[in-house]
Amino acid sequence: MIVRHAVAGAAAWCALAFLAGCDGARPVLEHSLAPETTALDEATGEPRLALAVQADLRAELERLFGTPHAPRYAPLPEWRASGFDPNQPFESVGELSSAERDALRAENLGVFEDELEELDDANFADARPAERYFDLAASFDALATAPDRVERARTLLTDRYPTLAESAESYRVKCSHCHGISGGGDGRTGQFLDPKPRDFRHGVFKYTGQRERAVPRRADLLETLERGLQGTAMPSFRGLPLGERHGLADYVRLLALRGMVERRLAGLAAEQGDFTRDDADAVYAEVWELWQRADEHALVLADVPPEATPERVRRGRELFHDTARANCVQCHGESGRGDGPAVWTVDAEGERVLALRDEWGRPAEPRDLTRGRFRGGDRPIDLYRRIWAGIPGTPMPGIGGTRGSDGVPLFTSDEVWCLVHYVRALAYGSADDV
Amino acid sequence: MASTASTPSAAPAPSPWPRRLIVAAGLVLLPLFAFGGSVTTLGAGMAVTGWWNAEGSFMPFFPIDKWFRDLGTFVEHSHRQFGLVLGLLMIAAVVATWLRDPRPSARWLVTGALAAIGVQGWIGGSRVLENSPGLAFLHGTFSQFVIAVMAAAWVHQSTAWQATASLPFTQSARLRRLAILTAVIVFVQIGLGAWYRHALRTGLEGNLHMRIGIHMLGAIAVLGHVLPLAKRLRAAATEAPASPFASLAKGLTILVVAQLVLGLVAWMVARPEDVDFFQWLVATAHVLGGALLLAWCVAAAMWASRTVPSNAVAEGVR
Repeated sequence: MIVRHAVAGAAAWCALAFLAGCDGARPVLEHSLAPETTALDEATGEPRLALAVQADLRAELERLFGTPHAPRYAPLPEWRASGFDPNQPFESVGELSSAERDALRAENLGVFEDELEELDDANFADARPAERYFDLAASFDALATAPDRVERARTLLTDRYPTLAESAESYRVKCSHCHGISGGGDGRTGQFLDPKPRDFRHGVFKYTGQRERAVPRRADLLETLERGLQGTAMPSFRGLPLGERHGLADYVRLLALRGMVERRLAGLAAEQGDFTRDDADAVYAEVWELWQRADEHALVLADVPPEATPERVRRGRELFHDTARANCVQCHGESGRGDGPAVWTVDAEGERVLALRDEWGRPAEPRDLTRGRFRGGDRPIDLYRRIWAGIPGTPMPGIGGTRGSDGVPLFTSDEVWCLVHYVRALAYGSADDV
Repeated sequence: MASTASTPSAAPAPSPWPRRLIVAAGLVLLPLFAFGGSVTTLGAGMAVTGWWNAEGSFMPFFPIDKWFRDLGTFVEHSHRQFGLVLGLLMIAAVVATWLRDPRPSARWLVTGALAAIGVQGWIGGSRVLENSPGLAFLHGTFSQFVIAVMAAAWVHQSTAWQATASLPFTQSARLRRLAILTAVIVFVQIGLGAWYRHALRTGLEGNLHMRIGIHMLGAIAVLGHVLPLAKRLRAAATEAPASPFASLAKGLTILVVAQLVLGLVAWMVARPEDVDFFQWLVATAHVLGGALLLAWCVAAAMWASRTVPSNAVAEGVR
């Protein structure tokens, strides 16, 4: 009876699934424009940006970045001369170090162990990768009639690096529920999170190793993926294969690039009423250049970090409280609990409200340093980066790059380290000993 | 045919405590499922950051003002609290069963139920710590396994079960097979429902129609098995009038019809981007109805396992 039931059930399901048109097709997704791009004018109730311009903007963004299913950078004519093709993985990510390539290859040997064994036995058909590596599988299929297909297939597997389309699918499954399909931080889970997920479209990332408020390096995105952000809903993705993490970093960068181009073009259109394709290409090239030059802004340590001696912690406390110099107490308060005088204000109705706002217009509360939960990491180097460069997109300024009227830096590297040691002492309970 | 249900030989009256605790745990499952289903309906699984350490507080002592700060937090934290109560009740039930119930099957069943609840809680916590939609789906699906084990434990502790050794039914083997198959199909169908509901947050809007289509086909399969099972249970009730078969048949029929109606309405009113009270109510009722239907099927399968062919009873086979 069980067999009869199973056969009848399976037949009914198949028939009805066929009738319902369930062909297992991948979902149809579209990028959206940012709310500020499509916002209405409060006075007139009309869209701030004409609907026709919005449609043009949508079309241009699709031309430059593709769709969520087929993400692809538009190559610019001037790149051809230099041989730069952003759609070639290794070129678009910048030259990977030999150590990174070796790590990826070593991982691929494990991930595709079964497939490589099949190739060792010259079983080309059985070595086809699983469907989730759909671009890789398609490349495999294209080799089917090549005489040297086994060797070429082996190279495909060992040198595998996820394509943007594969990474977009990975992003959809693992990231979009918080960050949204277009990276606006507006996924369905995101609405319940505090702090809100990052809106990549501004190109502003809080926790980087940059010395200025520049766009992040790939290494910064990878680090966030690997470590997560402590005290937030952003988990560590260390469990994912290295290749997939690289792919996710690539795709996050595509979404950030897309968002930055959108915001700049929308700003241009708001000023001059419209924009041209040349404008779009110029903005696209300009934004790309920011990302290509990201490594130039890296904060490089000049010397070995000094030891956390009581003297340095004491010096850090002085700087922390010195209102003429670091003036950390202004926001973080005398005790470092994030309750400084600049944090609160009184609104028109006499209510006490947070005075500080971030890049996205949300209230920004200074960190309670005594709790020891540092979102960007609690290693000395993490805190050094936060103090030296600040936290982009927030009112937290960096002191490392500040200079006096004579051009001399206002803080030495050692003074920044003193602040690091004091903050760590606040967090981990030894400040009172000083 | 007159009832020929046989009963075990005289034995000391079983302690009521294991049963009371299992019943209490079973009742806690209702709000637990209602809040759990609501979490998915609202997409509020991440409304409270952290697990055990919930936003700096030990989870059971999460501050009241935070608990009621918004609907998402209220639903998510209430779900966690009921889960905690369920776990505590089941620990008590395991202790009571090992102390007061001599039946090894009862002891291991209730221990297995506690283990399942522990695993389920761990999946739920990991879902939060990892912010993982995949684990959220697993949490929703594994909850049905918990329901199945709890239903089995509830039946096993019931006085009727303990007082009944075997029940006569001419088509005993068919009834058993059909009951087990139906429970499996209902389990799979609820999994398909979870597959649809959990897709609402991962950018799968474009292929939701495919998922809901398969879930609807599953509803046909469920209907095609539950109704014949109810019919066969009614037939069994005529041969063993003292058995719970008649009430099981009635419950299955009511639940499956209610589920069809609720499912249809839930699908018609669903607007996942803007959940209103009515949508929430229907979706939650549908989730609860599914859990109850599975519990009923498990109970039917348990009782079906107690049937033996009529001639075997006549010959004194137990």
